[in-house]
Amino acid sequence: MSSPSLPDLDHPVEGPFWRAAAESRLEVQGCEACGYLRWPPAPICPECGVLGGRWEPIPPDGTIWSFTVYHRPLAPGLADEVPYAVGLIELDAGVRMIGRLSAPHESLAIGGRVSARFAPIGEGPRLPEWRPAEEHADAEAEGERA
Amino acid sequence: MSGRSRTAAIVGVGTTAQGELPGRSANEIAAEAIEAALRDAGLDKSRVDGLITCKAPRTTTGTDEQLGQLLGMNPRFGATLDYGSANFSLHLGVMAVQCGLAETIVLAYGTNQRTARASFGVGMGGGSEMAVRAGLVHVAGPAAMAFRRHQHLYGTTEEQLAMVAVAQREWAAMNPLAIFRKPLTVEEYLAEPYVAAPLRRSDLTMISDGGGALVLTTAERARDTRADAVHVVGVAEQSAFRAYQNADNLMRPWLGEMASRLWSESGLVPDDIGAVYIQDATSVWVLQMLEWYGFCGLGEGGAFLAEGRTRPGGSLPVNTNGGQLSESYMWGWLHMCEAVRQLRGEAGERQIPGLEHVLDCSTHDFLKGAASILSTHPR
Repeated sequence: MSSPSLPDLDHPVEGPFWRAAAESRLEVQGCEACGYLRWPPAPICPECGVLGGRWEPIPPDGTIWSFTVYHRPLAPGLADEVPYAVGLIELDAGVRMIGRLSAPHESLAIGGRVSARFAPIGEGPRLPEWRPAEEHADAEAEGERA
Repeated sequence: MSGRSRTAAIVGVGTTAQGELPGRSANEIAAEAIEAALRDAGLDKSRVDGLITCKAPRTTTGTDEQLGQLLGMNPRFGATLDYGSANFSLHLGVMAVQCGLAETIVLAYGTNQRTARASFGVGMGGGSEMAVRAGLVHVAGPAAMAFRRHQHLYGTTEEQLAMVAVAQREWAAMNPLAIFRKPLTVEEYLAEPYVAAPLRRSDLTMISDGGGALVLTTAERARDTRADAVHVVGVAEQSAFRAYQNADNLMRPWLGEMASRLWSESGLVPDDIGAVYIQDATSVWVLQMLEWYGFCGLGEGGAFLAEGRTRPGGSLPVNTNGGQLSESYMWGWLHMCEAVRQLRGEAGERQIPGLEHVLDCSTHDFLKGAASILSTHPR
């Protein structure tokens, strides 16, 4: 990985995100004063300046704004991962997240609907990966049948 | 404005050899560029009362304190920018001159990033650790996303984008300072493998050692220094520190707002500009800035490039030095040195005749932008 260390689940600012992700929930901070949903994690609301913020689950669904496929490893630790796709996802909840796109690259398109799936990284932590929404729904249905 | 209002002019430029400069520190290289700029201005260091420097990427070298000591200078005013691409440094110098903190300032940048094997595989997530974990590293990734979005919205093609690298290589072929001078065709460009699709190697800046420096003074003093002083007649800056919290941030619509201010405050329009210098970390920056500065309409940049407007003989020469794609990766310092040399009529084979105003524009990733209009005469 490009970040050699595992996420710090006890990190004072980002910890709650990783703890929720470890349980396959996507959470962001909502400002308790103005309601603005904040990403990335931060100790202050960038809209109104109020400290703190309540972590709340959001639907892990969004639309691909754009994406790229890395064919060359441009940082140490990525040699075994190329080619891989990264996209900017506009979530239905209103925040924008960068994430790994887990789908055949030729099937990726701007405007495509994606949903987060939580992939283990090491023991415990999980990282959201984005899959085409239908495939995700099919996988869940299969899970229910099994 | 009060009687204290002054305009600033560039009276000296200095460049070192570019490429690989083994065994030399970034500060030594910057010092060499400063000496060259002072010679060009015909000034002794005793006339300098300001020193503005910038750190080499992700290092602690390049501070005003280190360079002042190296050069034996005790200027009245000293400052260092952490991200001191030529435009941001120039603007700080203009401010210092305008408010009387200094009268004659040298500004410089030096780097040994190539021989020091500096890594540019850094996270591009706008402060998000998750983005880095997803593998969004190096400026190539977000630039590729921005270009794919441009393709999606406006039908821009890879053949059209190729013309950025191809045209700049044509200019570089006429620039003895340039590192990449071998001709590049659209076909050769398209045959290159993707680095971060849809971008290729030729869309991305090289990594090189080298230095550049400027001497800036008041318009009044400039008259006594060089008859062909180059005047700073317009400046603008804009940040986008909220990164991905801003809608469409990779398209950088905020550059358009900044450009509007630049044109209205300078009293000039795009048609007045004879050449454009765009700090080109990637070719996509050129595409975006041609549009945001109003040289063509939004979405029309691909066709504008494909028509050959920016190449030698075109209606709007862009990066006549070859830019960072072909000349050298100098944080825009060589773009500004080239702009000054062009305005002074010293660009030899690649000289643009009758040049009066040029635009020099820069961005720092997706976080901020700066632009200057440089002219042969004060406003």
